[in-house]
Formats: sequence, C-alpha cells, structure tokens
Amino acid sequence: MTTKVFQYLWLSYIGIYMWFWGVLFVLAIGGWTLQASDWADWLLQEMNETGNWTYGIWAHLEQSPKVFLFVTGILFSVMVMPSLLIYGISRRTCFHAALRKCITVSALFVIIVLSAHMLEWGVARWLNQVYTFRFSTQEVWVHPAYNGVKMYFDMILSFVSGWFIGLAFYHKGWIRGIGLTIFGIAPVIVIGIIAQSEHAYATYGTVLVSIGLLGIYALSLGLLLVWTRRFISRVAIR
Amino acid sequence: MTAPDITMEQMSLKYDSVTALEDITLRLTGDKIYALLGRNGSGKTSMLSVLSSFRPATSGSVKIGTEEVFDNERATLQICFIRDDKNVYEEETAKDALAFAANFRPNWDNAYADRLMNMFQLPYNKRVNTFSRGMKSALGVVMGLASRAPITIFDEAYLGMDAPSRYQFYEEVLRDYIEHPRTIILSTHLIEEVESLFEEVIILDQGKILMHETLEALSQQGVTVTGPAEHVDAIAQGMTALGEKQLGSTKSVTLFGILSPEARESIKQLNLEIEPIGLQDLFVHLTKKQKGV
Repeated sequence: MTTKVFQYLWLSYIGIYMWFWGVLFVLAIGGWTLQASDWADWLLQEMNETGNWTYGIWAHLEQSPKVFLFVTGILFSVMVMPSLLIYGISRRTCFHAALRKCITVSALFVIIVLSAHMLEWGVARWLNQVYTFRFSTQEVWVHPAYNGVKMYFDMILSFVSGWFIGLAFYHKGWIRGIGLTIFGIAPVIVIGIIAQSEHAYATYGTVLVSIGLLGIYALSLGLLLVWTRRFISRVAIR
Repeated sequence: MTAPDITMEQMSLKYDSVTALEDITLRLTGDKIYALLGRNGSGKTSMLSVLSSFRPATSGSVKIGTEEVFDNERATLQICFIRDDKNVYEEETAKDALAFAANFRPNWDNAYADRLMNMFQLPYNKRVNTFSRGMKSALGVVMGLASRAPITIFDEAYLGMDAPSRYQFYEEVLRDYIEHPRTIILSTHLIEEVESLFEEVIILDQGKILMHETLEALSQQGVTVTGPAEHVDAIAQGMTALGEKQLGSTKSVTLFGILSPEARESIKQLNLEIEPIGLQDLFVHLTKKQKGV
C-alpha cells in the first residue's frame, strides 16, 4: 500500500509541479531579458566593477522550490493526509509514502535547479559574461562539492518543516501549534546563520563548517521526523 | 463472504478532560443493519470515529474480527465511514473523487457508483465545493454504497438530502444489502423514516451504552396503555413509567418492560387500549428520562 500511496502522491502533484516550474522558468526568461537589455541595473544591482553580471538569475530563484516544498509540506498535513486516512490508509503508510515522496521530489528539484543553474552559467560564459556559480543563501562560499548536497538537504528540510508545522496545528490545535512552529523552523534558521557566518568559516574552514552543517541537517531532520511520526501515529481526523 | 464481527471492550474516549465515551463494551455480529441512536452529544460520532480508526481510543480495545482497528490497514480498509461532510476533498470534481475511491477501496464497484450518480442526478465534472448540501450528502451516500465495504457506516450522512432522495437511499441500502450482505451502521435522528431497516438498535446516552437490543425485542419492551386514570394507574403500579399524559379522566401511560400475563389479562378485562411503543417514542422517553428533562 505504501507504494500505491507514493505513486498517487506523485501522480496527483505532477500538474502542480509543471505549473510551478513553468512559472519559475518564465521568471528566469524574464530576468534574462531584463539583463540582456540592461533595464534592470537598478533592480538586480549585481554588476561588478568590470560591468559583468556576477550572479545568474537562478541564484535568485533557487529559494522558491524550498518555499514551495515548505508549503506543500503544510498542505500535506492538513489536506492530503486526512483525505488518505478516511479511505482506510494507515498513518504508518501515510508517513512512509510521504517520506519517500519528500526524498524523491527533493532530488528532482535539486537536479532541475542545478541543471538550470549550470545551463545559465555555461551560456553566460559563452557570451563572455563571468557568473559566479553561487546560491542566494550563501554570503560566504561553502565547499563547492557540498553545494548540491546542501541544497538537497535544504529541500528535504523545507518539506519536513512544513509537514511538522502543519501537523502540529492539525493535531495539537492553534496555541500549541504556534509553539511547535518554533521547533519546526529553528533548524532552518540555525543552519542559515551558520552557513552565512564569516566568522565560522574563518575560524574552522569550509570543510569543517560543511561537515558541521551536515551534522545539524542530520540531527534536525532526525528529530523532526521522529516527532512527526509520533504526531501522525495518534492524529485524529477532523 | 461474511462481514467480520465488531467487538469493543471497555473502550473509553476522552477529549482533554471531557469524557466522550465511557467503558463501552459491545459486540456487533456481521452482516446486519444496525441503528445507532442517541441525542446530540451522546457520543455517536465519537464512537463511530474510534471504530473507523479516525481517532484512537483513550483506553480499551476495538476489534474487527480478531484485528485491533487503530491504524491497522487489514481492518481499516474493510471500513467505510461516511460522515455528514468532509467525505471527499471538495476542491476536486466528483469524477476525481470517485476515481480516488476506486483506487483505494478494495471492493469498489464502478458500475454501481455510476448508477447511483445517475439516480441522484449528480454531475461528474463539477467541483464538489460547488455542490449543494443535499448533493454533497448524496455523493457521500454514493461513496458509501459503492465502496461495498464489509462494514459501511453512515453517520447522519443523508441529513441534507430531500425526502424523495432519502427514501431512494433507504430503498437502495436494503436492495444492495440483500444482494451484497454486509454490516451497515446507520446513525440517525430520523428514526421513524428508517426504522424498518434496522435489525438491531444501540442507544447511546451520555457516552454510555443505554441499550443494545434487536428491534423485535425493543418493540416488546414498551407499551402504551390508555383508559380511565385509576385503571391505568393500577396496571402501571410496579412498572417503569416512561411518560404519562392525562386529559380529564383519561390517562395514557407509556410503560417500559414486558407486561406480565396477569397485567395483560387485567387490561383485557378493564377494556383498556394497548399499543406497542414505536422506536422513536421509546428512544425519546428513554433518553429524556436519562437526561432528567
């Protein structure tokens, strides 16, 4: 049954994903048009001293999939999960199917973002523009090999945070839901602070900070998933 | 295939500090139509929610056959619980809702669902949130009946339907039950309308089982005796009077319990009127007394 629910979760979202990525690509095309026509100097403010664009459009858009996954995580708890449970699907199946979906959809999103990013970077170089291959959350460079992995964990964490927060409200009510939201978003904030801390990189180096961040991802994901599983195991359908 | 028995043992349910169900012990044998009756707030929906694994019991056990129900797909996939709303995701069309049910309900009958959709004149391609209350109820009924779930539960599911649609539903329940026997539990306030369907009746009051009897046994448990007040009082002596009315010297007393042969003989000799009490009257009287109204 887990596989059946997992397939259903994918099939039912394909249209939504196509819309989402369609809108992002339209935004990217719009951004390139603005850059090419130099209409957006005031908007982007990303030119370096030599007149080159330092960052591509995808450096600005790569946050959107995380926000999207965060919102779908919330909606999963309050809309999708109840509609599965009323058909007799167990909470356990729901949890495992959603986790599988989260892992696979995050991987797909990372592949799309990295592909779009690299394509844009290649085209920029071909046009003699020198883009820095970076992501919008990084003020300081993280170890380059770590970027894709970090983005993957960011995607998973975004969905799991939304899932946990949605479930906290659905299962525990508004007041306790607000309190639990703090725990849901804390990992994202902590990781953001450390990833952007020049002091951390200067003191410990990019490799150590990257390993440390991976540890925080693993720990926070583990805790949030255990908590989510506990909530789901006793959740009442409204 | 016989529907599995339902067994509840010392099951209780609490919402924070409020006790919704207390020490429920009940056994429902398979392939029967049950009525679950109770006043508002008596715990009917709570009991059905626990039975359907919509929420966990606070304590005790609820089994379908030998399987504990809560979060157990071997049990829950055999149950279809239709409520008065939220039976489908209302942003989708009826067609999508039926396709979803067909995907996850093991005994789903597509042809039967189509027939019921036509019978209730429900549109396939409109979003459910644009349906009227009656249409949503009718869609719930379609989902419940076409699921052919061994345990099918309707909790006031047909409340929004107009009278002709409700009677179509009652006829369909009976017809499909005869063709595909299963356990059907109907929780309702429209007792008189649907009374003829019931085989057994469970009455809940203030979170406890007040009564669980066959309809036949229940109909023998109450009589209304009417006649001169002094004669009626004499018959009623020593019996539980559920209610009484008096107009001048004529009195009518509703008595709970089986009349003794002597009492029946006295009634005959005194030329008093006697009639069996209807289920609705019995229910009203029993729950009124329990509520102290």
